[in-house]
Amino acid sequence: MVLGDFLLVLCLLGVVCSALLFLVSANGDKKLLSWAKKLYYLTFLFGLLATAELFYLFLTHNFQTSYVYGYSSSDLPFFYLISSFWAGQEGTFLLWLFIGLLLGLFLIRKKDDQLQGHTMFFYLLVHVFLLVLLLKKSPFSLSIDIPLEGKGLNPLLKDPWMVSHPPLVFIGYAAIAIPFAYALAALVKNKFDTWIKSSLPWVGFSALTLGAGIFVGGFWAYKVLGWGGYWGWDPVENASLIPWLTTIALVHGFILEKNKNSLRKTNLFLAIISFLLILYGTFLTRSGVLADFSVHSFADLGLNKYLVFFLVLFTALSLGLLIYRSSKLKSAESGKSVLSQEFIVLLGIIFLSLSAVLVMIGTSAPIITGLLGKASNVSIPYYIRTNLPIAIILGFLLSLSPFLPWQETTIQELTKKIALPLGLVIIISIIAVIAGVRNFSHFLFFFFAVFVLIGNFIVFYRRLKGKLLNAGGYLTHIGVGLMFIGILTTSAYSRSIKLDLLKGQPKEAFGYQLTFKGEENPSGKDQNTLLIEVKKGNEDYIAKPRLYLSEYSQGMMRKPHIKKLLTEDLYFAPMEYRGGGYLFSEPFELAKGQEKDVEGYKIKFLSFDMAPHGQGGEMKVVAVLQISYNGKTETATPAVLFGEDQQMTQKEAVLPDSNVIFLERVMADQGAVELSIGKKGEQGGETLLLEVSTKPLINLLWLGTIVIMSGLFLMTWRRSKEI
Amino acid sequence: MNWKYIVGIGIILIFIVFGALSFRKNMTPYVGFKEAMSSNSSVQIIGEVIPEDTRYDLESHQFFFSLKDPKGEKMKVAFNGVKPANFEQATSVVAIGKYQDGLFSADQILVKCPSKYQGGK
Repeated sequence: MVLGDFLLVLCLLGVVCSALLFLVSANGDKKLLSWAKKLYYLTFLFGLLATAELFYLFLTHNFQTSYVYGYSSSDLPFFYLISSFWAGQEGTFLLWLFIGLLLGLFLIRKKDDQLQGHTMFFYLLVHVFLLVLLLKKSPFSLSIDIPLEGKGLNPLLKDPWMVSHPPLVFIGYAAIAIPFAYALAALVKNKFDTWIKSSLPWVGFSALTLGAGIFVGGFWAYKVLGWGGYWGWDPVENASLIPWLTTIALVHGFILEKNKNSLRKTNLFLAIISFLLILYGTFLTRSGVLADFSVHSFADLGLNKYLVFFLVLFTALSLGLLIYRSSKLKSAESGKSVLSQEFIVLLGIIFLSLSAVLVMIGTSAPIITGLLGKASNVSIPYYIRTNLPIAIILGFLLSLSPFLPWQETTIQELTKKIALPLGLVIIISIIAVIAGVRNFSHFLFFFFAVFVLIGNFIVFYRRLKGKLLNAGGYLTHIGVGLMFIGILTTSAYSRSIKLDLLKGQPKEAFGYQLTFKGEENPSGKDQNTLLIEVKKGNEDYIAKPRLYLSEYSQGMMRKPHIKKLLTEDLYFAPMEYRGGGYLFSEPFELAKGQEKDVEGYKIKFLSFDMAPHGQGGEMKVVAVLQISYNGKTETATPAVLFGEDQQMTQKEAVLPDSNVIFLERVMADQGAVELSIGKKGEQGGETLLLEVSTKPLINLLWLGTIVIMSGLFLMTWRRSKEI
Repeated sequence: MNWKYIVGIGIILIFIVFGALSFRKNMTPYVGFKEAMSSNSSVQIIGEVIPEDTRYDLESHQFFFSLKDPKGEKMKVAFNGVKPANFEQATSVVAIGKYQDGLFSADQILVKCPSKYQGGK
């Protein structure tokens, strides 16, 4: 057994033993509790060491470890070596485990917590699940042979945003287990007065980190993938969106219960379901059940039965407990008065949950329809059609909420407060209609988004004079308003045009004059950059989208260029590059040592250079040629790549005077090659196919996400001081 | 039971019906090439890309490619959009759309590529 696996086994032992100790100590045995805590520290140490060990294996390029081989290579910079850790499934489970154990340290520091024993028991049960998966499919397993070089990291993942995205998501995942554990502890102990206070900051924290993870993921997709969007309703995205929605509903439920002592059952249910949805999402995205329905291909690691087992176990345990206690769960009646903050928050919880349910049904469509007959997916319009009305209703609720007190108010009182902001919103909405908003539901969505923004800003501004800490909710809602406006403008009012740009010939798009200037290859490897001159009035810059052959995937990769302006982004996405119409010479044969005059070049075939290339049966054959032209002599090395399935890729070499030479055929048995020269023709020059699109007001969207994060941060900070 | 519960349950029911209708409307079952040709509604097909048949049409700004199913049957696909970043990396491609006038007109294509969720072999 390798060191890493050994540490994981010790960690599992520690988790199981300390879980049992915590459980036994739950009847008030102080001494046992302190032993349980000590054992927990030791367990954490094992988890820490296992994590450090995997980092160590990456940093020392231990390619015998299959996981290190599969996701890194020795030329990766330090920064990306770190992120290779969570580039694959096994590593993300370890990351999740480590963060979970780390957060546990904060939980056990709490003194005089009557729920602590049970809470820690259930919390550690979650980590048993992670450890079983980790031991079943370990990131430490070795391969039989020792490869000299790793496969490398997918170039799509070589991005600072992608480095931070998985840790953020897994911090969120790990933190959601805390309210879950508290809810179960409260149910077992039949004691419901403290669990909300203790878990509220953790719910805020997980809403904050999971939300940040979702936003960062969206920003990454926009910046790197080049299809121009930031959200695609893909199962991987939905798997984190669904629990995020219920977590946000839970934040509101907690605040209601704290203020009004109502919604006890709902909150217990939401705390439980948020965690179960994380498990369900993990199952959906890791088991391979959706393999044919998602952009991502999820390899089935053979963990299915474990994932299903734990999903069923946790569901039965938690919902069973809730049902068992439910007849005795009494709380104050909620929503007595319609014109009050309380009623609005209640509706908000209902609609947030409804949205979560609808997204979940859509994501599970292949499973649901598979049970009834033919497995079938739902397309993106389903998500938009069902969520747009909900978003409008949420906008309506968030518009009213800053003007409603917790106690019932009267219509007259409300109108008085609302008149001025409403006037402002109407003026802005009229401007929007003049500017081009025609669709009625778009108009409603915009109207309420602006209302949310203005209404919450007014109250937030007033609150600033008091304590900023208490204004987190308003700040978050300002962010929601901003984000809603940005979502509408970038999705419904984005313009797009496809151009074929002949090198040197300008074309017009959105008032800009675009000229394709050619290619640039600054550092050689994987760095091919296209140069497009963009002109408008005094403005003049070079847009540099990239289109390159990736060594990692042996495929074309692209990266858009984004020009950020104050009111919109210009998004340049390269679609295809045509190397121009070469006029090919008749192919000619050359034996080793033979020399020929072709098209003014004196070409001599010196030798072959054959090397296995990459993994599998790939092979690269290079012909080393000596070229004399205008009195100068140099070497050219055209090549052919033979892929695994007899696929052939030619890699031309550039000749003096910017013509190219292709290796057409390799006759290894005769020691000869067939070559052809491609001459730049008069017509048919290099052409770039480019999609240019505008993303109006996208800065509002990004600003909105930052404001939401700030608001959630304030809220979490405030509640953590109340523990 | 007071009126608020009735209104609340009413709203939720409306949404469930609305959601179910949208669900049915936007359902795109996986079908074989033969079935896709005879279907009138949106479906999805999956197949391997035939590299030689991939081309971008400058006139119509459409992206054309062909898919091959395990039986070796071919289907021509037209896509009105940007070729996805990792198209060439694709092990297989999913096209969602309708069969019209001799080719499969795709509204959306999914590229199945080795991503971070694929286990190393």
